[in-house]
Amino acid sequence: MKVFKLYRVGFLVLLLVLLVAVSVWSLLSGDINISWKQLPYVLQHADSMEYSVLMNLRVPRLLLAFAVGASLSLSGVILQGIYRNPLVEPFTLGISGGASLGVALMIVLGTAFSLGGLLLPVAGFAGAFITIFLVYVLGMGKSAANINRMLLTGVMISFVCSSLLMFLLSISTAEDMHNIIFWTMGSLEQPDGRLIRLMLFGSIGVFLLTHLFAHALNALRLGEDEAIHLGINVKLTIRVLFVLASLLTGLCVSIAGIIGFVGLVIPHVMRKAVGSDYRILLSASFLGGGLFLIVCDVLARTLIAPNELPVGVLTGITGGVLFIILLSRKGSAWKK
Amino acid sequence: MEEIKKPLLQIDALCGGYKSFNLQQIGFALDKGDFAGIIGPNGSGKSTLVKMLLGDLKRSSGKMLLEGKELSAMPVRQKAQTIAVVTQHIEDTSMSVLEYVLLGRLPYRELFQFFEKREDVAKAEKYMELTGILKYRDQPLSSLSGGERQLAAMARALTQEPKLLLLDEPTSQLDICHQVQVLDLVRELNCELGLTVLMIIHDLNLASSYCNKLLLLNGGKLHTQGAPEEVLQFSIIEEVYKTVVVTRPNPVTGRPTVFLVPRHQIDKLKKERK
Repeated sequence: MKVFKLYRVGFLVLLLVLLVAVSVWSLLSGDINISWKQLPYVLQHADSMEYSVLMNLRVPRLLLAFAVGASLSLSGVILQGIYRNPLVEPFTLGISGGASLGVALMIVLGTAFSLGGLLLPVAGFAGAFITIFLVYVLGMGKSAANINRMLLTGVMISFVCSSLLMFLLSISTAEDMHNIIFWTMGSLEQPDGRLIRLMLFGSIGVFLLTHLFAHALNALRLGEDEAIHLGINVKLTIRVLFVLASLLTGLCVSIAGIIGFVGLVIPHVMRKAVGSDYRILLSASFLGGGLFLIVCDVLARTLIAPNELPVGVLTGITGGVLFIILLSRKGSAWKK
Repeated sequence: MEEIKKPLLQIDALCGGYKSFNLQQIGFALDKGDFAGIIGPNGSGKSTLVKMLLGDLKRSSGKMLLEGKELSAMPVRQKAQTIAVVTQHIEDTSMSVLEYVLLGRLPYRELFQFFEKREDVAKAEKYMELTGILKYRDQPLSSLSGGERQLAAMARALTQEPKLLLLDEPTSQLDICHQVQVLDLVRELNCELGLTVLMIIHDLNLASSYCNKLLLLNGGKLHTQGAPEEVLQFSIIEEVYKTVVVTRPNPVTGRPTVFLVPRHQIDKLKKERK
């Protein structure tokens, strides 16, 4: 316990407080402004319009923003841990490419809006899943995790997928094209409550599961061989974590489209803030990712109101700028 | 019936290695409390042998028995409780020295145990004290010098409380003061805790001063094994290392000591004889 420095726990508490503050901000802002003095009144009057906006639109959206941001960030930190490489993020492995291709195929085939709107997420997930499977089978080879090979396989599959996507775009109608592009940009508007619940419980479930591997991730900071010498089942650890991170990313992509950069930037920021002890880094990344996407979502909704920015655009810009600032500062080398 | 004392580690007809290099029919045994040194020229198979013992490299045939149990059949976790290793390359990491040493308790962790126990920290601190690095407890490992890092790795290995300690050239990057400091420490552990030690060491004289058993490898084969007096004979060393040497007992310890003779001195001697 002595090792657990107090400020690290303090940082988690700070993240939680910020998360609550940002959530309230998110709930109150939008087309219909609700001031926070009104909040108790609104909550007591279930028949008011404000109440229905709050409960039917903003709360689900808030939960989805949190779950997606947290999941992407968590997937990022896990993949960086098992690959021992700071540049890996869920989308480097080609998962987004596969998902986009799946969705585009459904839209072009014109079957997109059957199955009660569930078909697009299912297609996205299937695309992501097939990509993961390919990267896993082609990239793993005989050894536990041939890191470079797996990364290269992911990047190549990404390229193939985006080329196929271009092809689909070139043969599709203007309306299909619009739908595909809109989906690719990522959106947190998800009318289906079941999907939101799935995302939320999925993210929390994986978050809890990864904590069984926190010590293994710590040992992996010394390299695969040393981790084995410390009695860690490295093969099993890498495989389970890879599959968990990929499934979680697949889920995010299929429900909210492509929201880039969260998985790269947030873990990096959190490493700087709390260090690389995965017992705390996992929680910090999870909370930080959720926090970041909630903020980006509020900004996306309010910056050019009444219009809405695609949230993926905002995460890309803010995340990218943040990353460049961090990198250009002194002593910014990645800490293993 | 008299009980036959089993050796701690028994290696029989061990073969295997890489495509271009193989260990051939290695066989030796270590008793509990042995301090053994693996010596031999570069590329003779010293590291390959250690890697095979650790299971980093698969053997093609032969037996590796630890207390009568086959090593390769042992679960990694149990193996980590029995064998600890200090490798040459110690990863540059930002974790504190205490966090690093505490990793040595991982083999004893229970499945749902999230924080280290008080006794784990106590053990880590005990071995940090023993290796003299307790003063760096909260500093990042990467801020330590090469020698200190070696000591930290030693503390981590000891925290695993193994029966067999493997050392891969523990003195290769150290000055003579630190060389003696590290090896004195290992000897102390060997004598007082009864820890069995197997180390790769290049320096024949250090090997002679500290080890009670030497394994001389050459070209993937075990050339000679035995006490330093048996192995460090000038004829054997000259044959294996292809270098002219003279051996004399150390004037203080009486252990065999190997002196090198440079080529120009040999030429000079030859001329004088003519």
